[in-house]
Amino acid sequence: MSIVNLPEGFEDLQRFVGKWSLATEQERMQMRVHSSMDEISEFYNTLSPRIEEMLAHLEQFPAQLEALPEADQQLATLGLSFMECSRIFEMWGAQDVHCANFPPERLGFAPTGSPA
Amino acid sequence: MNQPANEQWIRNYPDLGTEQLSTDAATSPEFFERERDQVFRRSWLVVGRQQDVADSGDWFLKEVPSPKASVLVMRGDDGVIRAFYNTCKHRGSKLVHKNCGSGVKGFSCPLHGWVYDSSGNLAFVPDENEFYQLDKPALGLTKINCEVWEGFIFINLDPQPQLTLKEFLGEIHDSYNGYFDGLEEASHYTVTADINWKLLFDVSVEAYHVFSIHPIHPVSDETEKEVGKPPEIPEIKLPHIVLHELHRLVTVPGNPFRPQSPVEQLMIKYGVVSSFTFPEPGEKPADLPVGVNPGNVPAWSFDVLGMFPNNVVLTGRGIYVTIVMWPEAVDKTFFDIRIYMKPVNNMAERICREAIIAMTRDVMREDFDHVEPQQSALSPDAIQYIQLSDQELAVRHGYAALRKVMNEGFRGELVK
Ligand code: FES
Ligand SMILES: [Fe+2]
Repeated sequence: MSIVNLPEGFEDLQRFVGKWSLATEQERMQMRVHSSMDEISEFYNTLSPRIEEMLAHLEQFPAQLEALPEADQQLATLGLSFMECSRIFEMWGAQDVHCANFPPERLGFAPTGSPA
Repeated sequence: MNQPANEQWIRNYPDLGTEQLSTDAATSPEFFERERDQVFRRSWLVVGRQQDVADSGDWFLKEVPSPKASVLVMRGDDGVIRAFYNTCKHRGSKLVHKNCGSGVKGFSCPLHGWVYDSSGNLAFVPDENEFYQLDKPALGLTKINCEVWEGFIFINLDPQPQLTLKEFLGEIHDSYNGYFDGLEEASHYTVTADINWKLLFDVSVEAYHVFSIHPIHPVSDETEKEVGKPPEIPEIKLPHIVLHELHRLVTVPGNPFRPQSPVEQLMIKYGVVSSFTFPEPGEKPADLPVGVNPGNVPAWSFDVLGMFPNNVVLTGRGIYVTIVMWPEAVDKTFFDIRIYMKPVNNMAERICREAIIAMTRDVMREDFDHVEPQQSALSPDAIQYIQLSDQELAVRHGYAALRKVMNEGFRGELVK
């Protein structure tokens, strides 16, 4: 998807769209585990005070990304990336759990609702 | 009944014995072959959920690796879910090649075009007159026993199963009362790992490993695990263990009183509150069926239902996870892992749900991080027997159930 402007009121988050507005769970996990802690901190700490407003805005839309206008889709995927980082960042101050023997690439993602 | 302090669970199950157990079960190719033929070829096995074939004409393939079987699961025009070998009865070609589909009337074989309807009957043969005598009604796809329980689709590769599905499920058959309905598949993962299938099963039904490999705070690689260093979080004791004939369940407690992060408070605001993240304080609420938190444990987080032989189901509130283990070789396994969650009503709830998914996925990856090194270290030269504590009683029970079925069949007695 090409980058469009975020919905009005969220202009300050525009600089994160290129990196963190990712449509799939797999892309968001890969971005998290392969980002530096500086990159995650900047993203997470900037969104933390805004996430409540983001959710208040996104509550009007259905739960399927495809159903949202492009700008709101991008805001929603920023929110999903924020949640992807939430626990590991807040509790561990790290980008990933111990995974020396089972690197993130080993986890396969099947389309949801599809039998393996 | 919860276990009184200082009492061991083994007292409830003295027949299980307390001996150390042979590592053969995870390393011996001969054991693996017997397991394949006595257990996997004869057991009821979960291949999916009924919503995977929601409407007539929906279907999917399950490639069972061992014993090798390409299984076609399809909901017929009559609404019935059936399973067949994916093999054309003309000259044995593989009938369908894709993974799944929907809305079909039937299948036509790619080789010569024999057509089967959605109930598996042979419906059309091109140039039929050229055959000498063709008993078309007898040439439907070969059926595999297939039954549904609480929305789970089971198959049994034994043409004459020793137990009905109801008998196989035993005490758990009537314990869930629609618990699994109404949740939707939120995420679906696959893993192929170089381990015996039981290593991940075993680590899933004990909590002894939790303080080591699921620490709340990271431990640096260099300083961790110094001898005598206290664990980062207190050890978790299983407050409830139930061992059935074939299946087993342990309850995992949590801390309902730990401080909530701002994100967790948002999740509560939007009603996205699985008990994985928010354990339930106090008594078991009346709306949970008898099979969930069967010990009425306060501070309940979730249960681990170990279904014989290869299915681990984590049951919480608003969430359950299934991990189905498909052995390919004694030291190679395919894992089908799905997270089911309460459906969300809008994008804000959807975003909150992602935090639970990421957490669940991360914890699962911590378990996977340890099993391949364990398998590679389990050489018969290095270790012949494993030691199991009372907290690992469900692991012991898994081996007892397996040995019983391998030695005496599904109607046999538990053997030590
Ligand atoms: S093998 Fe299927 S039609 Fe010939
Ligand atoms: Fe674990």
